[in-house]
Amino acid sequence: MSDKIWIVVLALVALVIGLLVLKPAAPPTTPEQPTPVEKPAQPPVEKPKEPEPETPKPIEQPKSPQQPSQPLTGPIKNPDTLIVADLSDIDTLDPHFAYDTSSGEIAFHVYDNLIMYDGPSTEKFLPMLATQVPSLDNGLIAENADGSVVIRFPLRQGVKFHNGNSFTAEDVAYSFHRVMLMDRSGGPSWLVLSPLLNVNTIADLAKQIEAQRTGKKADEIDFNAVSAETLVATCEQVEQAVRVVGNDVEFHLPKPFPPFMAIVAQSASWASIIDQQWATEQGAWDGSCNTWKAHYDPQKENDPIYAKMNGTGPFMLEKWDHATGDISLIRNDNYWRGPAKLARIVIKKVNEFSTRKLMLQNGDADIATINRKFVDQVDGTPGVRLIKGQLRMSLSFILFNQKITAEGNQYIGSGQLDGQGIPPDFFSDIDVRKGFNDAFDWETLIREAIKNEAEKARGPIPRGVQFFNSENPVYQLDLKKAEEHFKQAWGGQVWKTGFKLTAPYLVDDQASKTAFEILKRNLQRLNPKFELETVNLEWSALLSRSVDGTLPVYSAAWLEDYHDAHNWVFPIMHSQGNYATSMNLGTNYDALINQGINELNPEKRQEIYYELQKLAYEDAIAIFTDQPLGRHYQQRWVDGYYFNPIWPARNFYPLSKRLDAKPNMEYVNQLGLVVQEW
Amino acid sequence: MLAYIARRLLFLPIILFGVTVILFAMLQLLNPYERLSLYVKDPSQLRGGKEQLDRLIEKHGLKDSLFVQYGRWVNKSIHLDFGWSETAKTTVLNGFLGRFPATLELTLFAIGPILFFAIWLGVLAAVHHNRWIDQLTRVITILGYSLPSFVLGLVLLMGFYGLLSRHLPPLFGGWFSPGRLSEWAQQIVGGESFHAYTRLVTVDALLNGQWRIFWDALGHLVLPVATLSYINWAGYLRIMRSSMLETLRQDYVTTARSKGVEERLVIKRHARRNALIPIVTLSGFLVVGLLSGVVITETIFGYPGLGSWAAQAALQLDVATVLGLLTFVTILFIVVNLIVDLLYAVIDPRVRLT
Repeated sequence: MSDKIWIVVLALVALVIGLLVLKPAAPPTTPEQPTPVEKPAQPPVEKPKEPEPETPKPIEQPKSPQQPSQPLTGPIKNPDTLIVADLSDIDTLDPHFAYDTSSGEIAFHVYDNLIMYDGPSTEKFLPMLATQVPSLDNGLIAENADGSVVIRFPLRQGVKFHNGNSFTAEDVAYSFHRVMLMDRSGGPSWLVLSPLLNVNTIADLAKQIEAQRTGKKADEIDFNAVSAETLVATCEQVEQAVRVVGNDVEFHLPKPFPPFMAIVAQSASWASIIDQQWATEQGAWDGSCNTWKAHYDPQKENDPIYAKMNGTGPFMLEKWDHATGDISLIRNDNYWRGPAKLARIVIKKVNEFSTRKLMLQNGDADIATINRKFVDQVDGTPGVRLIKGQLRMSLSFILFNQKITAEGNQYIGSGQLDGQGIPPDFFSDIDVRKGFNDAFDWETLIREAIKNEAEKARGPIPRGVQFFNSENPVYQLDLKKAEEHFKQAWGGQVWKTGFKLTAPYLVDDQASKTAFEILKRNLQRLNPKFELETVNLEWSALLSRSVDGTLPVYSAAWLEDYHDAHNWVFPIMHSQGNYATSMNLGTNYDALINQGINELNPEKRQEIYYELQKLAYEDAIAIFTDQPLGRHYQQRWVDGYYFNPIWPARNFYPLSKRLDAKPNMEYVNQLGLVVQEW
Repeated sequence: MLAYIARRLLFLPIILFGVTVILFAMLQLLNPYERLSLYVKDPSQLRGGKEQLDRLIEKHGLKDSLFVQYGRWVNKSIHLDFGWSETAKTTVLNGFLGRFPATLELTLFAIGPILFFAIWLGVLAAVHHNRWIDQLTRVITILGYSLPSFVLGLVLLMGFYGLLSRHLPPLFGGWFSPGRLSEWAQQIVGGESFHAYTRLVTVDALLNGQWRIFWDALGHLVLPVATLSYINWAGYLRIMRSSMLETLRQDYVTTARSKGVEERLVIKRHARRNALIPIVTLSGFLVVGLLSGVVITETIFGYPGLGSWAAQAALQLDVATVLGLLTFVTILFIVVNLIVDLLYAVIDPRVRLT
């Protein structure tokens, strides 16, 4: 009997302890309620003039009473060090190899470019390692009679690399030569090769030269078998494209390429200036035309500066810990723009959300990456500031494959229009595409899957990019119209027999899943014979299916490489663009896109890009779903934060930590953001 | 004895060959584009189109036959070159050497509590069979069995690091923060004046005379060790209890008692030692399991060990890493089992190794 009493008592004690441990944090008292610091300003530039149901949604207003935040009381943890709890997976520290945002964030802080964007502006450039931003007005951009263009950058003197070496014009030329000749597969070199040499790969250039020398056809030539003379000639062409002239550097473009300045200003990766002497000492390419092939398309492990850095930027590499994935940077006290306020930056790789959240809550992380699905668990954390509504240069869309690969395709059912599948060219009928667009419900998608933190996309060019047409017509949910289109599609056969297809999406991609579920529901409402199944795929499988052309529809997103309308219409609409190719869009828009990239007159360019946006709507090439709005969580003691959507990630240079830190209201108001702090 | 050891070790290459061939054969079920997902990690990296993907496939030899790929791996592995780990962003060997000390440290700190409590409470429960102490251990055991490690880990992390650190003054430099060391300690450990003799932070801290770092490292070990201990010793406690109960019913125990041997000595010398045999067997598996890495515990506590790396590598189809870790685990398994077999002979004189 006594044993049983003991058991009951102990069980009760265990229960009480458990409840105490599991007890949630006390709800924030009144002063800790989310407190809007400032009412959001009017939505920024290029807001659609007529508020229609599909116009960008206003940023969510905080509902809590407007009360001043509790003043912070010390101490600040790690006052000179900024700790970021992130999900980052840095690929490489070699900026010319890098082509991902995590690596770009590090390069952004260690290396400088010739020019940069002016603060949060996406339009205005400032000189960086150059002393002037070239333009036709200042004579640094010259058009030749043969249509070629020369862009000259006068360079800053007295700048030092982190190791003490002086920055020279030769370093600039070397950096651009290296990125072009290195041309690692899947890398960023095409962004420089394309405007400067009118090729996408250095191998293509070598083949062209070899073809001229031998009389063979370029596409029959094996790059690995080209002669040594051809290799030298290839390198010499690269050298001719970027030349040192006194203390300046000249870029020679065979024809006008309006986004070139945006490519040079992109604050990471391919336009980073590295130290030639240092790089050569590490074992990287020595700058000779006789040796470049040995450094062409290296394996990551064979890249001598894969884990080393030496730039002119505000921070220097301290340590990249491969065991933890953490990286730390220390301040460059000799930085030519003046030293950063923070002595050290530590980016910690913390995969588990709960751990990141607790680090933010306890002040062990100054900035934390919080995925959208977890934001409710972080909002209200005392001591934290949230800045939301940041427009991202990204666009999501659902593409229609107009020529599906039928062989072995499990997603198109019978492969016939018999109610049990779809034919491979099902989406080549414009009424099918329009019917799908009319059956889509943007409002539900943005509300349910994206928590109202996105704007409805208006076409292939997002808001914030020059030549975005805020008045471009857009589809909206209209089942009557959808019915009309489906009744006309395939001579009425679609409506009569119905169809069946499967829409694969990336596992864990909640937005794509919801988008397809919306379509499924509405198609069923239209006609019970319309069946759309959904299936989630691991990334490996989805990658394979996207290559073999078996995906009937493809939910995708594009994040710009550089800030220009061409970088949007090309991948989505050009027959050689990534998405247009895999969705077999054809060559209908190629001429217009090519015209747009070779046109210098902004007014004429606007006409072209407006036309392309209109065509994208009229031809219903895709369902353009949304343009996301970002969130930034930080400690309230972090001062000086602002963001430019063109940057690869955050900018740590202007940041400091202080108890009286305030949000940068000029930036907040300028971009129409919302700030909440607790 | 030596012949026995040599014979057992001879099996090592054969087993290694078997497991690696099976893994390579399984990979052939994936096409080169699927395996390319290791290098092209998400849709945003599909920038170069199919042409770039084909270049990558060729570059990484993903279209080569099974024999060519396996031959290449074997040839390199013989020279201790296990390839490049895309998940660790370094060579597999460096990745292993960077993470193994953390896993080893965690194992060394966890194995003691697991076995000590399992044996002590198991003996106690058996000796007090069906009394309150036995019932109590039963409750604790059931809880240990039932609690998934991610639940226990998160509860401990939220309870100590999440709640106590906000309301109480710091203990061990904080309330058991995640990670292996605090930021300030990492700076010292990464500095030139700190010598990493063993790469076990607690040991190195003592050898360097850095007590603050020792306490900090210990503080970071408390929660992962507590999680691992509680999850694991529940099972071992039950086994120890059963084994002890069975031993206590043996004739030689009755004989000892009837001879008037003190009960404490009967348990300690006659029963407990014999009851340990199943625990010794299973402790081999425990060591292999812990040294191979504990995925969930390491992930929750941000502990940079082999487990989280192995999981990441498997999910991303990082073949080089998976093969490297598989080789390590296979060797470990064989060696630990050999040691366990040798221990039988020490514990039980009736066992003869031939």
